[in-house]
Amino acid sequence: MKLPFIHLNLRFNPFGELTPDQRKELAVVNIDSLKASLNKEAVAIQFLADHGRGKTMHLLFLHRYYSSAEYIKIYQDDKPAFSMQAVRFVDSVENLSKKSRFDLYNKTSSIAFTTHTDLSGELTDAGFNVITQNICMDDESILNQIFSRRIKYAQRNAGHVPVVNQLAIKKLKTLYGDDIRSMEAHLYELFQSLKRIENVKV
Amino acid sequence: MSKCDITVIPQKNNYKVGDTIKGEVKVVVDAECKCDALTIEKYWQTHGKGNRSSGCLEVDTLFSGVWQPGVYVYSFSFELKEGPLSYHGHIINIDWYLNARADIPWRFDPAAEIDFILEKSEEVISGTDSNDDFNYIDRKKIPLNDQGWWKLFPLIFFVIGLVLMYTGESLFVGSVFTLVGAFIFYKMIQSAFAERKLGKVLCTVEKEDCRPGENFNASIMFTPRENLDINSVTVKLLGKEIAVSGSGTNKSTHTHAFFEEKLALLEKKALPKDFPVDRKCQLKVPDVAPASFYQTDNKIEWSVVFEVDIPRWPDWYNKLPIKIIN
Repeated sequence: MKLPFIHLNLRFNPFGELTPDQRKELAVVNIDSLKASLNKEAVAIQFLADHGRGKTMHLLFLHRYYSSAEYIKIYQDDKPAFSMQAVRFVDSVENLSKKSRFDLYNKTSSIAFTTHTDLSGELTDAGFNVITQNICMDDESILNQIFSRRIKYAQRNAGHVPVVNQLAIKKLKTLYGDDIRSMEAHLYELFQSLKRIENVKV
Repeated sequence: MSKCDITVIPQKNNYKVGDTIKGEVKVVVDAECKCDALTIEKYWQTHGKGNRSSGCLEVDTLFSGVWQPGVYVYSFSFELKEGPLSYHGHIINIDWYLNARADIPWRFDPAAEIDFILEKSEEVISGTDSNDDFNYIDRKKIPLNDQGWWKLFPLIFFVIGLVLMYTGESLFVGSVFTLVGAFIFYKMIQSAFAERKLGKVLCTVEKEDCRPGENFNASIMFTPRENLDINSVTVKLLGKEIAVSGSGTNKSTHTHAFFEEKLALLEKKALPKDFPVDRKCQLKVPDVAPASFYQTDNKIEWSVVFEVDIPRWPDWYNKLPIKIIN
């Protein structure tokens, strides 16, 4: 038996599932303007988009600048009890009931979260200055960076590795718009079937 | 800032269960550097479509102290006592790793990781003890042809769906609940419906634990309650990878059938009432079959699926899990 993906000079399929730490390490996002925002009081940053657009990646990346702040993932029907926190990161805040959300707002000075629905109205009512980041992963150069970083992270030895070039990215955009999760699922299958190191054909 | 590079150098890439993996960790430092601990970890981890599962972590500390500029080499060895064996499938892969890391205060910890292959030992391991860690499905816990009231559970979804539609609360969610509830309920009771014509159906597999390359018998018995036409009676040996990615509302389950062998036990036929049907066959586990593997988000499942295809009536279906051991 050979080492996995050795024929592609990789250690694993770059478009398989990663751990949260790996995702954080590989995130390609531009949040320079947000880096210091949460140091001010009563600031709420919402990363807003549909499923599979990279909201969590943005939140994880921002959390790198506030690594001591609490990071929680909310699942459906969760009813967490919140303690007072200066800064808090919440993934999938819309899974909280409205009552729980207001409890969260009351017990957090500044907050960053991901959501499918725009909560700026209730955040303003709760006294927050709201910064809304609509996540749209349709910039070809960003997509190129994301895919290249994932391939590089999976690289086994120095030398050549398969490449997802601009043409392939254009075709993926045509197929999936800005749905990066579907693009990655497509690339996973392509990498499974690659027989040698070459440009990936979509 | 001083530079500290770590390399893991194993003697070889391929090992068998029972072998000892030996090698060296090479550390190159270009300036004095304090190291709280240089550790090496051995573990297995899955990779592929599912969330990563890992286990069998063993850690050895190779050094702690102060490095002066230079090259240092530390030997390590780990016994490879148990599986899982390395496996490269379509949506699930299992691989073994060695990860060396230097814990250096106030600095990003330098680390290096290599993967290696663990294969089956030539000696057959008796019993199943070597695989006990992997939570294989216990057959005794799986009810066959269960007629329990829990089968009514999907009807709750069905009723909630109807209420949502009737009250106009949400037509979309209501219709999804209704359809999904009805479909699950139908799948759960279809065999019970089929048994109204077939009579009680008994299906068995001779062995619960099999090794690659082994043959085993499977049989199905029933006595029709009425004169009956059937399209076929089939048995299928099925190997499936099941991987779960994400969590909560982002959770997705991926499946991939990597092996499927279907045998016809009975072709299209008219079966007379009260005439007992007793069919047996021999199935062979493929020589290169991967062992059953059962972790929360990554599973390799083997099963024997029996099916009686009855025209214009719900088909009878049952799936018996089996365990493949290496």
